[in-house]
Amino acid sequence: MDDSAPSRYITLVSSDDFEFVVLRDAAMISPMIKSMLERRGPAGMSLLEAQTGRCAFPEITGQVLEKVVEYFHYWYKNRNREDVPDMDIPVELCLELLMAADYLQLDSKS
Amino acid sequence: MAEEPTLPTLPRFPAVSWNSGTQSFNNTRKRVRGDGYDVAAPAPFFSNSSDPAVFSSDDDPSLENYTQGRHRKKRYVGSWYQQQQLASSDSALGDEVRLPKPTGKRTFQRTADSGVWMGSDASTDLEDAAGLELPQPAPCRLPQLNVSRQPAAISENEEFARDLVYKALENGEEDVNLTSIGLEDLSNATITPLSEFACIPTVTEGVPFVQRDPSLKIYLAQNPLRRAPGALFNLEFLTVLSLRNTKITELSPSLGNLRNLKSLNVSLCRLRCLPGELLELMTYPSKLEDLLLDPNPFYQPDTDDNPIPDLDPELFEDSKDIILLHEQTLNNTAVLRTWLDKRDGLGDGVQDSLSDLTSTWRARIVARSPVQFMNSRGAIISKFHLPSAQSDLKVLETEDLTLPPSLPTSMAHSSTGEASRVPSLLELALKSCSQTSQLPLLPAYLPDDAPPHLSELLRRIVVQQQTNANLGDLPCSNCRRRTIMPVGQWVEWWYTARVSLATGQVGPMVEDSARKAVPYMKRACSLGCLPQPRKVGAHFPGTVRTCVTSIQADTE
Repeated sequence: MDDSAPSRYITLVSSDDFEFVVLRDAAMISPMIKSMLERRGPAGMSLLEAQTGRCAFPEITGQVLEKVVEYFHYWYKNRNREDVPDMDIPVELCLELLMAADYLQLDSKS
Repeated sequence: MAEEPTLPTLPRFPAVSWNSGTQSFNNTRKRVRGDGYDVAAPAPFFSNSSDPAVFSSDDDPSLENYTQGRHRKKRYVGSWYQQQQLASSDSALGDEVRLPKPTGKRTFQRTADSGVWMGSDASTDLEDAAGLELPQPAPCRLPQLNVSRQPAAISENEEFARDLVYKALENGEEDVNLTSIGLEDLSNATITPLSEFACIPTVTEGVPFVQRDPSLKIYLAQNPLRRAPGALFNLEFLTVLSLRNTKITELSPSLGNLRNLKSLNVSLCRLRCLPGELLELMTYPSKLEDLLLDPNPFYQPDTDDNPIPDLDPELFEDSKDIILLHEQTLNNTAVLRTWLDKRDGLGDGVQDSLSDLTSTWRARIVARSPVQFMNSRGAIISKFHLPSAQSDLKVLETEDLTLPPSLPTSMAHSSTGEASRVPSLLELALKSCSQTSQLPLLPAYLPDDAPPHLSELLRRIVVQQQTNANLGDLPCSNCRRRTIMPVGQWVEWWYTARVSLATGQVGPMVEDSARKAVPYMKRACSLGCLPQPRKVGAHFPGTVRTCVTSIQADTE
């Protein structure tokens, strides 16, 4: 396999073509992204996303995806901490983020 | 549309306009008439005094009412509430008077109206009555939410209760007696005014005036009340709360806010369990003195052989973290000690308040149910389900207290392994939603293709807000963080007793086999806050500890 050592970073692309380079480990908290990057086809072939490390989200705007990416790193930084600081979600984005979190399956608190 | 009669074109109004070229007024109407009398004069649209009045824009002296070059004013016909179309059409010309569409057919009729109305029996002017009908206002052009708010209907009994509350508020009476007035429902709006309660101090000569905090007493006993309004638990100065003989099935976790509560009576209710926050009210120094809990259809643990645990599960060890409250030698063979542990997070002020109290609470755990796990969508993902409010199930299964709770299979091999305390993004977004004042309207703002469980979730927060009379977030039993969707919920059974600080004796609420341990509902905000393994009989942190040590062991 050529991707014996996949990059530590992946790229997330929003509907309005903003690109966010995220730590792979941080983005893996989303079962949705995890399956995009890891699921194998019937012949052991990986999806295109897995080969390129690039996930496009035509449903999510750059503004919302930015917050999602912020959350990924917020989670990554605090995952082993006892006192977790609060992450601020602007009220005007709350419904869009609710939809995005539901879509990315960021609901089980692991 | 086809059969709509075509209206005659309205004359430009006013007929006189300013011609900037010739610097003179043009009277357009006159010229029309002068050109040819064969042109039928337009039917006057004001036939009598009951026609809508014409106003100029004089009362709005903004510049745009005087279009540049021409000294014209906008004219309006009819009263302001008929002006919607004109105002929104924003016509810069403003010289065309738009009349509300006449509703009935009107015949031309010359009426010499002097403006003085002479009443006469014979004249019944049907024609005019038809003309008087006001046209419907044009629909607003801005997008509107079609959410009609129903004004909350208040029962007669609640109206009466509201009167009593206002009377108490007005007279500064601390006792609010709402006993047996047939209340079935009590809304937060009735109780909330009491949060501004202020005492009327008695002023007597020679006695210095002291401002004191009120001590509210609310009696809601003997009412067929189904739900205790959450606003009750936001009353900071509530000292006595009686809900005896009501149909309440649960108490809000906000009960933990009542730090001044001295007496709570919930006997003869339909409570299945108590909020875990009640245990926190028992931590030292507790103001709570009376607690009447029985009888209630409480959940029972399935382990029937539930022995009252021995008194010394944790041995007394003398250290600087220990505050010894009482020490007594029993029969020269053993020592009974009562103490507090500072490591429980007791503040430094504990030492000062020691002398004030004669007795305090001791709470010890006997059993715990399995944890019911939920994801932040509110779906239960564990095998164990807490019974719903309607179910008659009285006995709950229990788990070994000394082991950590068993995780559902979907979580046991989670990618992260470690139990993290970070809330999920869905939870964070929900919290943000709950902070808007528009929460009840939010489901309407969701796009049409949004998954239906999201609007379901938002409605759930609305209910949670109403029952708790706060933002809808619940405190975590372990770390006090507020959470919207707790990740786990479970029931713990605790023995509670009063311990006299003078004698070290266990007070009137004796632990005996006839008296069952009482279930308390607990919740965790994250997997990091799940119940820790504990010994049977472990004390609730912050409550007083007692143990009997034999003297031989003590001297060694």
